Amino acid sequence: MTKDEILKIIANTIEVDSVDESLELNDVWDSLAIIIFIAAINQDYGKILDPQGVFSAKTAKDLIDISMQDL
Amino acid sequence: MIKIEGVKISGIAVCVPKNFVNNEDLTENKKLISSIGVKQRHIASENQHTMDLCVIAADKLIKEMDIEKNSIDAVIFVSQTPEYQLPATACIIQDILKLKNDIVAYDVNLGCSGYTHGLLLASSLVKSGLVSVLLLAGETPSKIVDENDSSSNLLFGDAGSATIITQKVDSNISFVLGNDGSGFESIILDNDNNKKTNNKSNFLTMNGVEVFTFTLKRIPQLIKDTLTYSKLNKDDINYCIFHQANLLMLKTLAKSIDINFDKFLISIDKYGNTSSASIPLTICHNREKIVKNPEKILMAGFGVGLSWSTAVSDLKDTVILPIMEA
Repeated sequence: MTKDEILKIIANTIEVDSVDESLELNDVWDSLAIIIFIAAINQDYGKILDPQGVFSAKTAKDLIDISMQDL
Repeated sequence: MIKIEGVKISGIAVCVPKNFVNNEDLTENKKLISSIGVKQRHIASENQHTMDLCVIAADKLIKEMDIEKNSIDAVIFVSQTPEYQLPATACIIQDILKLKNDIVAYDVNLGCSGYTHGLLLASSLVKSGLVSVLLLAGETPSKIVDENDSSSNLLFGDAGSATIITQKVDSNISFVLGNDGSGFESIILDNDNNKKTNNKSNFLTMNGVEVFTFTLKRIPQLIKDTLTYSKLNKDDINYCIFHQANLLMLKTLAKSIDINFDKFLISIDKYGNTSSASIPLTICHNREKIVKNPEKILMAGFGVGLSWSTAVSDLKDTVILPIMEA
């Protein structure tokens, strides 16, 4: 799992071509996006993310940190 | 882990309301529709209830199987949309179906895991000596879902099912069951002001993220335990018939437990998430496939409770009727 791979998953989740670490999630980060992101991380890396952490994420960097935690 | 010998699922029938809605008529959010995988759902009319759908399915099944009504020793109604808070709906159904009076009749208050839990209860009664048990599992979530809540309003559909469980030598059903009540608020309808939850509403409320995570944590291990206990490996399983929670969840589970998604039978696209009816509905919807490969069918229910259960059974020679509409 690399930062670029996670950024690609985030971009796919919110249906944009690309994102960088500074992306502020704001309105795009609804419950559907959270579920799609958790599902993608699980499908690609077999990891189950803490839903509260993903829910509380403010930026793409937060999601990278949560996803790469304990690796 | 429980294995019940000498029991068989002899027949299954399902009835859905004839009225249906297309989700594309309700929202322009195609991402949501493709994620949950629900294109259309059947919705009960104002005066059509879970009991009505189950009774139609049961009546048809009894006639098609030419079952002597006196041989039905128990009727179990599994639902979270019963006819009344009291009495038990099974008591009413005994009279509607003109079943005998010396019969066991009661309700089970379970949802997504209700069918597989109900199969255990019915099988246990048959094992204890009853000739045959009528298991009715159904739900009309449309009665308890907030039309303005897109996460649940586009997901749920209505359906009622009937299953006959009978004695049969050299036939068995294996079960694995579990529960974690610490997640009881994840899916809840709490309209009682005396209770101390944060989900006061006249409608069903669901924390989809919590339920999704619960499923990823619990169900892969549940499937591993089921296969181990049944002395099967995943390649032995002909079909996985899982509760139709949502399409994304089913695909994620398939990958997590490493079973080809082709083995997962699906009905959610045409009927939505019908709670305790979703497993028998998926069986009836895919009856032509199952008839060709009826052995080693893995059923799994999981959700509200939080509760989960699996059943491994053959459906060889099981009467599986086409889905009815009423």
